[in-house]
Amino acid sequence: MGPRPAGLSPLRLAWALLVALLVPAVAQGQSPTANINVVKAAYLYRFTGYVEWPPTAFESPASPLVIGVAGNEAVYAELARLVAGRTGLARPIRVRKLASGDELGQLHVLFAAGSGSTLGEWAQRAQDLPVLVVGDAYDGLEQGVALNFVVTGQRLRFEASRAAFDRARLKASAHLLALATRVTESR
Amino acid sequence: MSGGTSLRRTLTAVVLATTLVALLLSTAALLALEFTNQRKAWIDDLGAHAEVLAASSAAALGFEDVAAARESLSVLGVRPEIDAAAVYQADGQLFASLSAGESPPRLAPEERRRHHRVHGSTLEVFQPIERNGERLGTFYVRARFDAFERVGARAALLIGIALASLFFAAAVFGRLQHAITGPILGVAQAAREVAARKDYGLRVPPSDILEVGLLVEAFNGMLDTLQKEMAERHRAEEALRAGDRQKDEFLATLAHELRNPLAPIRQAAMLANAPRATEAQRQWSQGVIDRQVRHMALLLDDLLDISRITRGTLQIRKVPTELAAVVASAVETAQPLVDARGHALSVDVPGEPVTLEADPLRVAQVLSNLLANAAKFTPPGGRIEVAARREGAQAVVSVTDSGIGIEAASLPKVFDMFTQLRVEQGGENQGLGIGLALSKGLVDLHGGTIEAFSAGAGTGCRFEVRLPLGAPPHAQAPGAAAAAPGPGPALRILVADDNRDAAESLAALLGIDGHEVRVVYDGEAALSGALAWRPHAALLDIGMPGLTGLEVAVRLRASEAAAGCMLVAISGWGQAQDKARALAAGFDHHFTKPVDPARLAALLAGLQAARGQGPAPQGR
Repeated sequence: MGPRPAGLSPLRLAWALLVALLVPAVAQGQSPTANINVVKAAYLYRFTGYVEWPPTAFESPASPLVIGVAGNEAVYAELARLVAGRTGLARPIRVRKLASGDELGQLHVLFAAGSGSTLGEWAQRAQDLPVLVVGDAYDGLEQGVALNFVVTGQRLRFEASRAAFDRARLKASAHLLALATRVTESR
Repeated sequence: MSGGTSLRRTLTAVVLATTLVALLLSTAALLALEFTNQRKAWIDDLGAHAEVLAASSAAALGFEDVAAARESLSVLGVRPEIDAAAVYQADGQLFASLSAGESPPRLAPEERRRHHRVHGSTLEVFQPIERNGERLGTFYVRARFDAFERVGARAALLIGIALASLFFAAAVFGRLQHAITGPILGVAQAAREVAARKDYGLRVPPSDILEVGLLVEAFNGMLDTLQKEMAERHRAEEALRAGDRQKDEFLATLAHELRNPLAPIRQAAMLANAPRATEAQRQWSQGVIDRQVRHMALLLDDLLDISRITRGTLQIRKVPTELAAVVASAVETAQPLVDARGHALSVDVPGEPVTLEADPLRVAQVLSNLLANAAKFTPPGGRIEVAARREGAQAVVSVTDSGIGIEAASLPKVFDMFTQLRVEQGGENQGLGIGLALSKGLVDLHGGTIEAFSAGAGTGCRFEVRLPLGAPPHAQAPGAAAAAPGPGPALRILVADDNRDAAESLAALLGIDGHEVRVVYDGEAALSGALAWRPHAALLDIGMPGLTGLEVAVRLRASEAAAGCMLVAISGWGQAQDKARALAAGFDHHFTKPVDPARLAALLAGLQAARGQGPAPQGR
């Protein structure tokens, strides 16, 4: 809150309390748990704005940025819908649905739903490639992903692994890392 | 000086007022500019802040981290002028806010684009939050702009500078104004001194300023004129005083001169009346009386003449006149005086006739005057020369004596009125000191000139009269020579005068000439006498009790009975208008008292001749 503790009138105090109570409620209303996939799709899209890929990751400056979605149909559909409405970007964004075993060439973001060995496998395959691997398993970071969705207090948050970013030669924005619930350092 | 404002004060007020207005205007303009700049800087500053904060809160908004958003907003909390700040989601819902009490407004859809809004001292900035082509929300910040606080210090500084400038301008003007006010105050000071001390010799020093220079020049010119005028006035006053003094002296002299003959007249009269007086004594007495009266009459004639000349009313009758005759007439008049003082007189006239166009009586008067003067101012046994000659178109008559002469300094003044040169020896008749002035006036009337020459005191002097020549005479001048009553029948003459002595003495003179005379002493008697007796001539005094001479004349002229009667007015008043009034009343002639018996006799002789011999032969 504002740095004006002194001289708070009762009215102002009442307003402050009201706002403090209302803000989380409003935020909650904005991202209902029922539709967490919509939020995940939005986050996946927004992540691309805070991550810098090495130039070698693209064939040309006009080459599209490709987001691959594996194991979550709803997120894929929502993301595809979201990307379709986006025009006028520096480079176009494509969304691909991935099945296990698919090639990861020309891929920039990989969202692998699921947990355990499946996620580890995707991470393993993306290792040393300039691909931002995003997971949503409780032990995502341990499996080697760079960003991992977590739900904290009915709200979708994420954690980050600096080691994974470094391995993939990706740079994460300080703004992004500042919002992570947890950031693991290099091993 | 009191009541008005001084030039210096007015000038100071004008200059300082002008300076003050200029300073106020420039100060106000600077303040307005300062205010505008400050506000623009403030808007830009807040806009830049909003942009930075919008960018930094984009991630928090994008990943729905209210705490992070609030944290980035808290940066603004250290700025006291910021009232409120908030982050809104793309749909306008409040996401996070920084506000003590006043909640941020609900966002209207049109406010989601980037813009700012100012009302009063409040500024609101709306900054869109975008990332990666995605509109995430809007950043809002509201701040208070305390214009006075921002501009106040600057305003105080500017006003201080303005006041200092005004003070400085006043000081500079105080030093410079002397260049303008100095010369004008100099003029004023000079004017005051001139008025106070009456010293018209003061002058104001010239000024370099053109207009002031003109003023100074005009003022000095005025003083020049004033100085001259005052000197002129002073001289005129001196001249007036001198004239006044001369007149007083003249009056004293006049009284003395008029009284002088009275003693011999009285003594002679007593002698003549004494029963034991012999016939020789009686005749001697009559001679004395006659001479003294003649002398008085001459004096009075001179007085009247000079008065007429002064007033420009003397008229001369110019006729062709023979120069030698006039000189002879003058010599004849002056001869007794010349002889009495034992002078040797020589007269030189040209052999051929020289004719003047002049009044012979007046020219003779001038010349006899000069001769009398020469005789008077030359010690007994001196020499007097009269020389007449023709010189071109002028006749020149000079009278030279071996007398006391005239000092060079007095020469220019000899023709002034009342100027009497000192006479060392006591001559019997000093004269009135108007003879030369009268002579000059008469000569001037003739268009001639008169000049005095002398080598100095004791060397004698010479007077020279120049008169223009005229055509030769066709006939003998009428006049003075016809004094003796000519042959012819005696006339009946009525004399009327309320002064019995005057009436009777005149009647006695006329009786001696053989006329039949009756005397009356008032107007009524004159009228009835004239109507009844039918005289050939009536000599009527004008100022009589009862009927005046004028009224008598009017009535006589209205009557058939007095048709052929010659009416002669005898009056103490000799002015031109008096004569004109007499002629208008019906008089044929007008004589001024005292009546010159010779003139009257000549007039009566003419009437006698006309009566006796028909149309006037005029011969002699």
